[in-house]
Amino acid sequence: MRFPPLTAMRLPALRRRPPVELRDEVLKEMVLLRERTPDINGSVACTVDGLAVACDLEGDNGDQTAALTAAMVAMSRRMLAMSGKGDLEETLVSGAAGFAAFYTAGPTIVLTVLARPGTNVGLLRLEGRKTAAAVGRHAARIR
Amino acid sequence: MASMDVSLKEMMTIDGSLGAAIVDHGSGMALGALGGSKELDLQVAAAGNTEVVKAKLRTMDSLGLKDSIEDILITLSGQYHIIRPISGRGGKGLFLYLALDRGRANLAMARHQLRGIEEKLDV
Repeated sequence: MRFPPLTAMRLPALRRRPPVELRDEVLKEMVLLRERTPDINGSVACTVDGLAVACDLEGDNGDQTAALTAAMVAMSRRMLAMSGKGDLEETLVSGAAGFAAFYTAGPTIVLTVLARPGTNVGLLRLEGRKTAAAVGRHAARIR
Repeated sequence: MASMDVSLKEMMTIDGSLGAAIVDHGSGMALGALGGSKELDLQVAAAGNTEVVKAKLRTMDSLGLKDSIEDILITLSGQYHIIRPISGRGGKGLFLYLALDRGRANLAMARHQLRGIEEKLDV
């Protein structure tokens, strides 16, 4: 079976874009996260169906990251549901050259954080959760 | 030889002890923690003090000091925090973290006891 290229995973244009005001508020939190934690490369906030809300990454792969985040979160949720482990809080993927961490920020938003190798994972988890909670609060306020 | 749980319990028996943790400074996460309170979240302490240890190791490296850290003492106005990297055997990359109430603790005694606990610890 062949998988479609990532660009084909983009959602149809009819889906409503998140409000601009929300994007600005969320981006502020994400920039704060990167400035506060030197090991963090950047982050992307997106909806659970893969639509980027705000992107604080070098380069231009925010949309692809958002699409993959949706897949990753869906998979993680199914894993937890199957094993009866409750709601998703975080998924941490560790690679030879760094980390990708996913934090749920309220029911509809997910925060993806990318970090360098040798990161203080304890700190990454604390800061990631804190920022995700703040993002979740913004998302609940601005609809 | 003492297990991690036994060592944590021994750390908590030191006079004035408020919280104790055994932390991996590769990841910043605590392997085990005992005590703590609302004001002293040991997971936060583990992650934060990992930065302290890393910064010190980096500084020693920059200075060209070929030595190792025996312990790091942080004196607050109301507390003592002692960080003690574990040397030898399986303990590489770990450190003991102990928070003490300054009013009730005897610093010399606490350091002495902590050394003993570190020597016996087998992770």
